[in-house]
Amino acid sequence: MNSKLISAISIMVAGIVFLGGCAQYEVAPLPSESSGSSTQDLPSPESNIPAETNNALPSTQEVNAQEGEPSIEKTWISPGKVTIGNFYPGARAEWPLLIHNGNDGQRSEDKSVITEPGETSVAVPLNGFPVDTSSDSFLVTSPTDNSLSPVSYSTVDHTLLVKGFKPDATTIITISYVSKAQFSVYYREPDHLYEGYENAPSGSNEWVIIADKTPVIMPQTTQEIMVALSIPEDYEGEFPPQWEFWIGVTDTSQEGMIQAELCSRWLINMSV
Amino acid sequence: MKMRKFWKGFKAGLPLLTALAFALLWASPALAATTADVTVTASPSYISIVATNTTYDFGAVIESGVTNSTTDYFPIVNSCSVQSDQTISVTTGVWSGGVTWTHSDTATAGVDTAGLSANQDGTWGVGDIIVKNASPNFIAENQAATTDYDFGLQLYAPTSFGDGVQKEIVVRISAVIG
Repeated sequence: MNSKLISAISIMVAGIVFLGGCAQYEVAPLPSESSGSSTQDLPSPESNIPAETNNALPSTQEVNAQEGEPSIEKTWISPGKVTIGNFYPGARAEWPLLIHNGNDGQRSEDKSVITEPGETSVAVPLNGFPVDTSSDSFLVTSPTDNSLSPVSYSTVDHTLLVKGFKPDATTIITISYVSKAQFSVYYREPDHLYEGYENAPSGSNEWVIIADKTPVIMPQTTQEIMVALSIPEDYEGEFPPQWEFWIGVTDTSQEGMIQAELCSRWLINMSV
Repeated sequence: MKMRKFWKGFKAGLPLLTALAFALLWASPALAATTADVTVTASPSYISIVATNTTYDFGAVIESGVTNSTTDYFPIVNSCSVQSDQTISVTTGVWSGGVTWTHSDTATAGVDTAGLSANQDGTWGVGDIIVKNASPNFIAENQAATTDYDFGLQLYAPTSFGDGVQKEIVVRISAVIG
């Protein structure tokens, strides 16, 4: 009787301990789950990325203004520095990069339009990204012709149909409208290194996942782009104990000889 | 008799011992995973620079000529909320337009080879900074937060030209937390 009781208890204990062991193993936190010490002044990272979606990142989204950020007409990125601690192959860490488009979006494009005999309407290609695609949101002017008017904008081939041209003629026109700005977000080797850090190992650009590398952002709004670092578990190369890469951001609609690039430092401290 | 009792007790407790052994083995990886937690920290900082004067025409240049803007021609509005390091570079090693020019990273003119240098609001010839394509130089190192600055550009024209077509190159100012 006693031995049966002991056996029953043993099996129950074994079951509980065994299941407990399994559960503890399976819910061992993703690296991102343990992302701690985020400051209160910055938005917290998004919820953790399930393991099965490995390289997928949440889509980008607009965010509200934060205290302490530069004025609305300045283009900026935040944070300027992300530090990852205790990293190792197989681990994953992510942080949302905020990009603010400070431009008011006012855009003018000069075009030279050549019409064929009998042709009075022309689909003119635009380089920008109109905020409003209705015909009355475009202004078409010409120093030689005041009969021009916009008809419709095609979101497929990014052209504005303009009517009122003189056939078989060349007309200089200016098209004015409010445009979103397209940014380029990319992995980048550092120009110079933070004290105590070394250049990233060869091939590290393949470990950096950027949710949207070419975000198109509305004038004077901020968008969140998730950036993740994930080193394959079976990577066998050597790592410096501390290494660094940058995330570069440029407004591709910048014109002229001088252009600005904004960079965020990512400092990686490997697990020892 | 004692031996039989011990054997009976041992048999009864065998599942418990086995379970404990399994549990210890099974739990070990979980403990290891917990000690390898990754931390991610970000400082509340904003990186923001804007070039407010983005064009300059060096005009018609002569072979081996050196032409410059004023050293405050290009203002940089620095709205970084923290100290920053800012470098100056050209985005490509080639000046576009007609017979292209090679950009010299030593600011040494040559046949269809041109160079650029910059000066941060000083005097040309004093503290000039070579504008390179690879390994950019600082235009503003340890730049204080929200402190603007100006700079100028100087062109070292080629020693001979392949043609008279206008040439262009893009100069980039890169800002990162210092």
